[in-house]
Amino acid sequence: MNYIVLSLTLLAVGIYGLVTKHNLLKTLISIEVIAAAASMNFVAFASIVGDSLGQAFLILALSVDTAMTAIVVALVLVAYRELKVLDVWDLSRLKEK
Amino acid sequence: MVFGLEYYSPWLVWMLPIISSLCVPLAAKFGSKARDCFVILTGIATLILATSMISGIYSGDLKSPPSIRWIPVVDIELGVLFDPLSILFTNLIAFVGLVVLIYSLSYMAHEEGLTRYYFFMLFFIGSMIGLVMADNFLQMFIFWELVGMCSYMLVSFWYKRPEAVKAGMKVFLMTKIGDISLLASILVVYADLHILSYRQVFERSETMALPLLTVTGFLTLFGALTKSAQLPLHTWLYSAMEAPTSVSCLLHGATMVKAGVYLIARTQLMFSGIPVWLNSVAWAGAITALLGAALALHTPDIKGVPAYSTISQIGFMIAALGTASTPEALGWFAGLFHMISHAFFQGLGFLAIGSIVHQLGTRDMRKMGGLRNDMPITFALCIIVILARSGIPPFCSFFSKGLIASSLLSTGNTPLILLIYSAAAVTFAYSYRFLVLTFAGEKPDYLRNIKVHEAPRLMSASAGILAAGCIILGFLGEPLVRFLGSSFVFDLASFFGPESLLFLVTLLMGGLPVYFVYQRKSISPEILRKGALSFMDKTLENGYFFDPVYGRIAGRLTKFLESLHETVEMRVMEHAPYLVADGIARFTHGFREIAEMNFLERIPALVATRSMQLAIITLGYFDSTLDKMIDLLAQGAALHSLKIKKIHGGALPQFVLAAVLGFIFLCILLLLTF
Amino acid sequence: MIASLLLALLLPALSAPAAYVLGRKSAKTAANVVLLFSVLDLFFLLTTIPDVLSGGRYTESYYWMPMLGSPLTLFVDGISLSMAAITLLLIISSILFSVDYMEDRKSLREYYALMGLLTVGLVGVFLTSNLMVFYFCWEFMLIPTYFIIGGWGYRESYRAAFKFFIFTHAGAVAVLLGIGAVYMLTGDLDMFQAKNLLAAAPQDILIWIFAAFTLGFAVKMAIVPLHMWLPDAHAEAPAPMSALLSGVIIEAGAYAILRVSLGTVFPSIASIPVSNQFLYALSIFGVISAFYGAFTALAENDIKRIVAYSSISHMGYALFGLSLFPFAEGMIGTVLHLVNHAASKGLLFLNAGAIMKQTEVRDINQMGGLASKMPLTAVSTAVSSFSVAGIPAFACFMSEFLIFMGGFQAGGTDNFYYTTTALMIVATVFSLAYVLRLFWKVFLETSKIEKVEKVPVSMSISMVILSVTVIILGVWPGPIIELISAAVFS
Repeated sequence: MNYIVLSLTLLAVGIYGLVTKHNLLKTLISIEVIAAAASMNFVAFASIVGDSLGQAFLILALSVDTAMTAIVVALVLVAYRELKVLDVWDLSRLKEK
Repeated sequence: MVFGLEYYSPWLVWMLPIISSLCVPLAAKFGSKARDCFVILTGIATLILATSMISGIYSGDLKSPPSIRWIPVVDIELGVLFDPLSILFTNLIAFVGLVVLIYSLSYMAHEEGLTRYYFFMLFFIGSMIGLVMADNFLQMFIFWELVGMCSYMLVSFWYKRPEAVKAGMKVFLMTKIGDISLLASILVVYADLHILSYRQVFERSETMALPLLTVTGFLTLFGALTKSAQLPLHTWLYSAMEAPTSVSCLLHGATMVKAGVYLIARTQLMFSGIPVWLNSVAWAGAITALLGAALALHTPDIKGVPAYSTISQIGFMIAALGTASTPEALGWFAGLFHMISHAFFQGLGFLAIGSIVHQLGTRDMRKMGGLRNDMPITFALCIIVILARSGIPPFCSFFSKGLIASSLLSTGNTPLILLIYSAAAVTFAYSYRFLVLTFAGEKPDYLRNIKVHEAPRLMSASAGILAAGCIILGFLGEPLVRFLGSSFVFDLASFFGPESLLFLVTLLMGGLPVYFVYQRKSISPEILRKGALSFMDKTLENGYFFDPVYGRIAGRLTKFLESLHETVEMRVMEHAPYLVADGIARFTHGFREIAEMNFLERIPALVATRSMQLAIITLGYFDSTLDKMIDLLAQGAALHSLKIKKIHGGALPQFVLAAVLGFIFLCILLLLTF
Repeated sequence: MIASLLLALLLPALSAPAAYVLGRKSAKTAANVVLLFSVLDLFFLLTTIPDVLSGGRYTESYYWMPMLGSPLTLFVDGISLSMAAITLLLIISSILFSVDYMEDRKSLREYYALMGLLTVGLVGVFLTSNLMVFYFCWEFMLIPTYFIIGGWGYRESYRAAFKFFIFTHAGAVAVLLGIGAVYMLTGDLDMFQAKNLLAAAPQDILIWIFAAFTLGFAVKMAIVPLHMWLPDAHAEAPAPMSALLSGVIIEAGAYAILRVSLGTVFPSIASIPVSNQFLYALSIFGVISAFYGAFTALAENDIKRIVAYSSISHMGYALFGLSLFPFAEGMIGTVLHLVNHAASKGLLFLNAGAIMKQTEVRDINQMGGLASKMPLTAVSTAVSSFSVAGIPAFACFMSEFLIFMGGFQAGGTDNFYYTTTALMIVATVFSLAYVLRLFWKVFLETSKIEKVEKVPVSMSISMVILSVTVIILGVWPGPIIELISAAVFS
């Protein structure tokens, strides 16, 4: 039960970071946090139910997350080299032009 | 002949030319002389193979060579038919083929692209033999089409000439129309009887229902008539004269056009039971005979004479076949006998004028004249042509045409008889006219500057072989009868009777007008074109308006297709998807202002618009007009779609906000379900 | 061989990154890598022939997700094998052709890698009986195609690619609905097991499922009036891609109708009268497509558009053949037609590409008299176009003949088919007409073009390979028909 609360907290932290932060890398970290929260949720429920499906899901989700993070960070790097800004607001306004 | 080879000669006789044709490009790598030798050797080998099968017929040894299982699943086999009719045709094709190949050595000596020429000539010879040696309908049809393809390739041989190219296309397309009729009939037979081989089909044809059999019969007849250039689809043969003369001789004089005759003769067993069929065959042949002859009389083109003459002569053959209700009857033999005669005299006719066309650079007979002094051998050959063609004894077609006339007389059908006899008369007329216009009289101005010399020896020699055939063939009637297994008795003596006299008198009546008009020049041809006869002149000139009609149909079709393409494809099809997409896009504009707003103002704006939406919808509901409701529903969908579309723009914060809001919404939903 | 089908499916997936990595220095290496993998692929595929001929079907089953109700089953029978084999042959020829055709383009590494990826989708469609994998491969085909058409195509290529993607994707949505419904009704995603299980399902739903499947696949086949994406996509794609599009991708639609709509769903609804009307509808649309394609090909002036409309016409023949279910000749003829058409149309598109590259002209009215300047291309075009027109001794004759045989046999039981088959026979005249017109305008008469380059080696080799295939298929179709019929009769 406690772990569920923990995962909800992590979720809240992640959402807060996602909505509020200006720096692109910080929002990425927040996304990571949300992902971790979700995975933890799975494991918590798995331990309650007794089925190990959740743990299998954790492994899967972890690997997918890692790959995704790698690609996203690479994209951010390239974008930074091109556009020279990392602020989400400036980036979104850049599109208007 | 090698003993073992005889067993396989029915197969080899058509496979050899085809495979050799594929090797022609290879042989050409060794030089043109090597290639020519290779081609002639192949021709000789084919002839040997063909003649080796004759003895098999006489000995009554009709064992069938093995067949190849081609497509076992649907029981399609490739086989050969060892049968007098097939062997007869095969020998004819091989013989005339060889003569034409020898002729081509000299006639085509200065042309380019000869490898292509010989390739298709050999391929044609092989396919034609394959056609007549086939033992089932599918195989015959395959070669039927292949022969058409070779014809196209050879007619368009001088592909740099637009007329030749257009002629080739016309030939191919017109014969294709006949081909599909034949295909349909084969398929109908298959659908009913589930067999394709001749023997089995003929055995079981009585079990087919009469209407079905009639349909099949007429479809086959139409296919045969088209391939043999009979009315109504006969105009391709004249267009095919764009081909080199040797091609015209082989394809359109001696062999390919006879495919229809072969088909009618072959399927006669099957269709003679249908009462209407034989009559139609006879009438189609007779009418074509007369009309074709009239066209030959009118045409100014030197190649047009043998072309229209072929149409007319094949009409004779088909008319004769139409009088025969069994293969034993007189008409069957008469038609086939005339076919052989025609191959010789018409072949000769083409070969002889080959050098004239080549040297004079024109095909218009009105510009010719007085060539008898410069080309004596050709002149002699052409005299043989007209004598043989008209049916003057002792040349071959006297016997063959006489037999045809007898067979028609025996039917007692007066209009038919009149048609045939008039056709015979006109035959003499146009042959005579051709001779006079080309050779007699003085040389016109056009020719005075061209040095005309006799044809090369090889050409004359090969033509001479055919001429010899014309002379001897008439007397070979009896062996031929026995060969074909016909029960008709061929009696030379019967040719000295009243029938022959009548025939000769008719010919004379045909020849007299021509004598006066062209030879004596006492009546000017112009008189014949004026007044009441001008209408006939116009008709003949336009080929009874078949060609203009066909041309107009084709033109209208093309215009229709282009306009169809314009409207349907270009306008409707192009724009239809865009209309749909455009409609969707049009619904989604106008919310830009909200999107432009600052983040903090966005929430109240969203709330405000959503509540406003709610108000409008409820008002509309109370208003209860269906249109307004649907309209607003659509707008609502559009608004949402625009917002969502905006979310997927490049703006990250808006997207995040939407995601989070959505998540909260889902959580609320989840909680509500508890 | 063990696991040969799995290898056949996955090898091309490896070829893509391999080509990308190894092709850093020269694009030719990338091409060679993909070529090598494709040849290996074909080899693995062909090793299953003995099993197919003896047993009728060769299956490999892999444990996957039990939740989905069925293992990942890969199988080949005569039909799949023929289609997959001709697909690979066409891919090999296309890549060989691309080596010289695309030599002056950029980013060729990506091009070859994308071709490798495309192979996965193409081969996978034919190799699997699990509907989920089938759908995955079906959609997966679209992505590399979109990029290849867009990135290396001509005139507004992205617009054409976009049309292609949206149309076929929309069709695939219908297919997905059908698959979902099948799963819902049977709990099983395997084509063959679902066929048995669906017999128990309520028939009104089955009718809708059939309609959904057929509609989705018909979009892919470009049947009139859903054909709007095809002319642009085929005409603006680079020639090797057009060859694959016309030769394989649209035929995957016909194959899918055969396997999924007719094979899985139809037997359960065959007893209802409505199913007859469905078949009538297929027949009619086949006739309409055949004529429409032929007519428009007669009116077009751009060489690749003519060939594209010819594909629409031939897919009409295929659809017509499919409507003759379950007459054996018709089915054999249809599958054979798919194989023959792939070879012939692929060759024809490669020829068109060669003509375009050598003369830099697309409008046939500006061409002429090229026969003397491009002899090999002329002969190759003659082979492919005569095959398309249905001349005997070339590929498509036997298949069209078999389809007509089946049509008249079907007409024996139901007079409707007599009419439609007769119409289809008439359509062959128009096929010949546009073929002759194409040949005439491009190759015959006198030349209006001055500069004609010689055909590069790799292009000629690929054209020769396909020409020989076309002729062999025409003259000796026996073995292939054996293969196909073994499958059809089961």
